[in-house]
Amino acid sequence: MVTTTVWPWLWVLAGLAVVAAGAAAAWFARRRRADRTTWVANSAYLARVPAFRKWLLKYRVWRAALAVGLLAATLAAGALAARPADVEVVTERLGTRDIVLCLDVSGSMTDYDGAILGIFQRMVDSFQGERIALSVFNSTSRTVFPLTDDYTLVQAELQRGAHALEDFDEIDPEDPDDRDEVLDYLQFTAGTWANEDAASLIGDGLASCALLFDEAESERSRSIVLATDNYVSGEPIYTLPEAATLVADRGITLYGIFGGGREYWGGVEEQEYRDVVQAGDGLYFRTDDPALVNGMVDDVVAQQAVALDASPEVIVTDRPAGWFLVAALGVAVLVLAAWRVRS
Amino acid sequence: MHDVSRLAQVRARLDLPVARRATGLLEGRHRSIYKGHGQDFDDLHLYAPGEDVGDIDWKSSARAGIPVVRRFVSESNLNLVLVVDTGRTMSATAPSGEPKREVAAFCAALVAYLARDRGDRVALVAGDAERLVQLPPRASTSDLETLLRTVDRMWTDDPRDLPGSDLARPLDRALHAFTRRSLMVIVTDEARPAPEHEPLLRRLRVRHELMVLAVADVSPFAAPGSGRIADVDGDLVLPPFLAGRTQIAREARREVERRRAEVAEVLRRQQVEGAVLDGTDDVVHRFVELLGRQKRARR
Repeated sequence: MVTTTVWPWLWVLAGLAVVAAGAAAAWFARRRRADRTTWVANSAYLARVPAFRKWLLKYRVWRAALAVGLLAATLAAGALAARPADVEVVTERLGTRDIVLCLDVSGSMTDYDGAILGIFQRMVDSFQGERIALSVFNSTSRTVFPLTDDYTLVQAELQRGAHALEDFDEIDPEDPDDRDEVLDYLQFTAGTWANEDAASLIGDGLASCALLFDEAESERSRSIVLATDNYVSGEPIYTLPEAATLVADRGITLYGIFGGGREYWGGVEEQEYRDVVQAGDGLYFRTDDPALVNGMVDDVVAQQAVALDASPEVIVTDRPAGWFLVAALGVAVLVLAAWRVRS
Repeated sequence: MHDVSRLAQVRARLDLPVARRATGLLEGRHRSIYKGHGQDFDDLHLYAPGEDVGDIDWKSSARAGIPVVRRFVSESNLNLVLVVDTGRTMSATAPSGEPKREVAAFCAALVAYLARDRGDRVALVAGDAERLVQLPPRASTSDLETLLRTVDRMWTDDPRDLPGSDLARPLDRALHAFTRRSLMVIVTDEARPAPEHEPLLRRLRVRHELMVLAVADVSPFAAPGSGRIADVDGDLVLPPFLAGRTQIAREARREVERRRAEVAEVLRRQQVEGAVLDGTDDVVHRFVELLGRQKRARR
């Protein structure tokens, strides 16, 4: 953001205009005055009159005030004419990126969900202007919040989720002291077990996330960050590869975070998951990968720089208040001094 | 204005009712400034200490019981010398609103008129810091007209075109150019003769009769009209902000009175009679008064 003037040459022009007007007025006044002068003589004694000296000083002070007021008014008028403004260059790409965070809250993931929500929080910290949505799923999906750039809400919801899912193992459902924690957990995961015959339907969850994107006709960058252990229990409508195809068909980039325990690393589930994600040119991480957040954010940003024509928008915000105040004060001083000098 | 005879203008003014006394003056009192030894009897008056004892008319004194002096009209063939200050200060404004030069010119014309009436000859010394004009004594009407025109032409409408005022130069010229005892009428303004002119005045006084006709200056705070007020010497331009201050006007008036008193003191020390004139309407009246004082002083 730079504070500058839009038409600086107008400043000079205003100064020249005032000087020219003053010169013309002086010239006409001199011509008119020549024959209206009342000549007096032998007035040197006035220099010895104390009252005269006193008033002469006052007169000079007012004249100086007049000059200062005129100068200030001219400068400020010129500055206002030159249009002082804050010029801000806004790059539109920040506002054309949609990211859906897609979190598996099935029983097998409960140990890791708190950490993953923490990762989501750190990713959100790195974004500016992106719209973010959060969807949690088990057998069914619940949209915690739809696409929004209200980061206060985003961070609050992520924090709430992290708090609800953290240390879930230590909660004893029978213990009245843990009732609040249980309530938090149930509220956060509410709506994710509507299909009681199954659990952890990853493909359905991902497909639901793919449907969260709006503005289908506008050219926007779309990403899904999926966090799951790919442990399916039940009969899904979409298998994971089918859901991934749906995602790819819609032009959505899929990023994968593997949330399972160390004992599942390299398992069949993880292998399928990794293949699906990497087939769509997405990045794949395990939760403890230190490059996770930076890598994913950098990739999203880089991808969008290509995807969007970088057409920075110049926003000019007029800031006339300061100069306007100077102009008003200058004119006030000018009028007051002119009135005093003439009376 | 130049089409009309200067002398005719004075005559016209003296014919006005307010000038009746002046007309009487021309018949009688005016002559008295030249009273002294002569052929034509003029009047008798009480002897005053200091007068020539030989002038005492013993018969009249015996009749009256106190010393009486018999006076005769002087065989006046005095020269009359007009010493006119033509500097730029004379182009400023008089209290009447007229330019001071017009008042001064009228003074010169009045003196010339009176002199012509008596058949005296009038000479001219007019000057300022740069110019000096001298005309020899002449008595004819046309010569007097020429003299007055000469004075008139030395002034211009715009005072800035004129040289500065320097009364010492015409006074010095008058001192050296006229050796015969004359009546010198000095026409200047109220700031002169200043103390620095006093030595010259003293030397002139020894040889000649002196009278000073001083044209008053308008106060910058009482100047007529709404235009700019400026000093002819260029060291003052009075803005309306200052011109309207009664406090300054009051203190300035005191300062002006102090200066007038200074000039009057110079004149008093040199036993010269003078009058301060506010405008052309004032000239005849003041001149009559001046002549009256001159007469008493000469007694």
